[in-house]
Amino acid sequence: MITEKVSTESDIVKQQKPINRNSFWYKADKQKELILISIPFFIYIFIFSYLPLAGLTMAFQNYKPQKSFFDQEWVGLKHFKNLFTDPDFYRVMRNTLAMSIINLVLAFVTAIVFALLLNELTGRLNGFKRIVQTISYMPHFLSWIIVCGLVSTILAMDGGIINEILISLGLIKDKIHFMGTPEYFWWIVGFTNVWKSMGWNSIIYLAAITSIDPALYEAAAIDGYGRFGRMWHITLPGIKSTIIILLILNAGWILNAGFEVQYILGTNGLVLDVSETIDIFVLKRGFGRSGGFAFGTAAGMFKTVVSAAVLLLCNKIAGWLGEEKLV
Amino acid sequence: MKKTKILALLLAVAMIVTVFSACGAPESKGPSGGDQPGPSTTPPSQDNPAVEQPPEKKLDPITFTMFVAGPGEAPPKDNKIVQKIQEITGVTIEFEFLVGDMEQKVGVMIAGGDYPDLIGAGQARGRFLNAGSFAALDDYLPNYPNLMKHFGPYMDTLRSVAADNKVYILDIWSREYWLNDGQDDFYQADYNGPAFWIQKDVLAWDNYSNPTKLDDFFDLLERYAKANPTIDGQPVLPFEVHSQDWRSFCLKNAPQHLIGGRNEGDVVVHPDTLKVEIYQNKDYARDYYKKLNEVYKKGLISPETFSRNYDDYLATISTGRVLAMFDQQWNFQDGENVLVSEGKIERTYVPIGVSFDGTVVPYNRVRNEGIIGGNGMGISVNCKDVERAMQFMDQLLEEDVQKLLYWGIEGEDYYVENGRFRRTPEQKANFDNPDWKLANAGQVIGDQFPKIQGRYSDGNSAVPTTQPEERLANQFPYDKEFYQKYGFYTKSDFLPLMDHPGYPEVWSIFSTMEDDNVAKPIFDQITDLQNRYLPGVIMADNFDAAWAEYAKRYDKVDAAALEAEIERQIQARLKK
Repeated sequence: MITEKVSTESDIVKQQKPINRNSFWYKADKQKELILISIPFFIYIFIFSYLPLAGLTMAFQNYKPQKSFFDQEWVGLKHFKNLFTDPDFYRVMRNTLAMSIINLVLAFVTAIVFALLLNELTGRLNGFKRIVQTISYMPHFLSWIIVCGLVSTILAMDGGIINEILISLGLIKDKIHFMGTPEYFWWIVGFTNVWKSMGWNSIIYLAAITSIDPALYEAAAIDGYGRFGRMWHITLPGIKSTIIILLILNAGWILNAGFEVQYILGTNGLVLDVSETIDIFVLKRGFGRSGGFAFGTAAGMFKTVVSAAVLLLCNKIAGWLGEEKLV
Repeated sequence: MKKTKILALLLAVAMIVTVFSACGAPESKGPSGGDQPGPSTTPPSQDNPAVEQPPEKKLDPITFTMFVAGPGEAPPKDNKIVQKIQEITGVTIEFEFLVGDMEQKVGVMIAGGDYPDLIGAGQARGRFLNAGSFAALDDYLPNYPNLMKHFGPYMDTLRSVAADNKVYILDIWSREYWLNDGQDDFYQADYNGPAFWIQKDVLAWDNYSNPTKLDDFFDLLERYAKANPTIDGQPVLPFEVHSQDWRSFCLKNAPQHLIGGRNEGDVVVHPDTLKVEIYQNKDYARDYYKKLNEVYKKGLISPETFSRNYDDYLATISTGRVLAMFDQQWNFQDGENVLVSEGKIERTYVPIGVSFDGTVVPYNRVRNEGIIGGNGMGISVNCKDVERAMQFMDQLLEEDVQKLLYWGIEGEDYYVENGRFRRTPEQKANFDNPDWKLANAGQVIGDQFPKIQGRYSDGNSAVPTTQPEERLANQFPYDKEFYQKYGFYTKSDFLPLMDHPGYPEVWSIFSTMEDDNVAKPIFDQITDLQNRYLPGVIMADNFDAAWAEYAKRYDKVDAAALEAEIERQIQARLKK
């Protein structure tokens, strides 16, 4: 028995010698269990993420749902031409970008500042810190329909608390029509987003902050830095790479200014001009009355391509800045 | 004039009762001559097939799925009428009512080709038709006597909605059966269409006036609001203009009525020449919005009316402090129901036939001219058994089954007195309770399929709510007194009853148009312009400048193409 075993082992060693350890098949063989485990996920991703991409062909057809794929009429780039000559398209692009940038800036600034401030609560205030943190990320779990209901109730002219407060403080004479004034709409969306997601977004920064070596703080304190000095010179640089990674991730969503908020709060004619985002545009044209699946697909495809391009660009920029890259 | 009408009705009802109680039996010969209703004086317009046909052999149970492109709630399985219908027909219907946005739901359904057996097409009829979702029924129809009797005279109308001239949609409304005994008008359903709806209390406060002139109408609102700045402690809202999404007809449809037109949607049709024009940029539209602008500046319209969503709108109405609005009654009914349930009858609404010059105009109170085509349900191409589905609908059209669906079970849900169907207050209360109704009545089934409207061959009304005795007996005391001041029978009498002009309503033509019809994008363009800019025009400091800018936007709209296409479609419907 023992002799047999030894001989087989030495056999394998002999056979392995000529094999290139870097070859594909060698690696595949070594990792076959891993490959087997990943197969279900591969199939899952293929079916649900790649197969539906075939539907993008719709954008190049005069698509009629009742016809089979081979009976469709191919129209080339007609829908894209219509898209780029549509004045509404530029309007929704403006709205999307404006709200997106407002959201991005507000979300970053508030979440980081919030995390920094929260981080300063230590020692006896730990319990209070935890309560604040829990309360602040609770709104994240509310659905948009509830949040929007709250917002429009709070901002209403007819008994809305903000108007009541402003009037009783004597700051305004006439009630402000928040939900019907185009100038306010983007900001209402922006601050609603802040209210809903600030606490949640700050969690990741708080986690990054905890990984900073406490010795650095001690050293800074000895060097005479105060609270804000330490924040500025230790904490912020410590989470810089996290910030940049998140910025890259979020930049890819630059055309996702949101859908529900604008759809729920912005359907009235007074603010329609500033509320429609590209998602609403795609929905209206794609599934609406006079639109068509084809045109909607074309608009959606445009959005996807731009998003991917922006993501790659930001990734490049991160590389130039000497930061970790995502891809 | 009105007083004589109500008197005639009361007399007629009294006479029916006396005649029948004197004869002692409902199958009496009835009075000869005169114009009194009596089941046997007029030859029944419909035989009772249930009696003639031998009972069919027991049918195998089958379940059909049905999507209804409109709001609703499926009945529970132990609903007694649902069970009866199952016994009679062997058919179980599994309903799925629309939740959320119709265009999206239907779009997804079409894109996936994932249809149930039956489809209540509702407002999505055009989408389904164009996607080829329905099975053609031309070859099936002649095999079903009840359906044939129901639709036979209207086959061309049914076909006219489809591009290939086939029957795809069976209308479920407006096929009315009348006895022509001079009583039919008393069986007309209550008006629930577009009008300037105003709270009864406002009219009563003004000594039961009827302000049919636009200026007088708003003048009344102004005076009332000044005299009653709050209602139940909350500030009064004199005039609401709802403007959200597709419900923006409240914002934009009034001008066509103010010049005397029917509800066509976004165009006006000249009845004599059948010429079509869009009206949104015309002078009479400007006059209306100028009036709104004027009363907005006076504070009669709150700017918030434009940012209220539909739920807010209903909630506002249910507080009872909205004095008036231009709307269709079914659209604000849910809000009004709250007022009724709270007993605030004086805060409920009546329609006023407002016009520019003060002549009372009918709005949409038009005598039905049978079915209009496309307003119903279809059998989908995926249906597991088309013949069985047809047979089911055929069975539903028997008078006995219809009575089961709409009146319920005799002795339980209604009683018969001298041949007349009546209900005790308790039975009526049951039917007025939506929860009870869903669990115990058959209307939810009846409403989705072709049905008998008007009157049964025995003279009774097809539905309890239009049975004249029931109506009078169940009117709230406040209403009875209120209508008596005007000499009216119901709120509908505020509007004159107009004969059908003979061509279909344009919005119904529009809703079955093919997706690539030239008129569609133009319609959408117009709707978009109105939804987007009219609120601003109404709120403008300088109305004339705002209007000029708004009207200028119509330069880009190819109105001529739209008008020509609608004219062509009207002619095509008339020829068929």
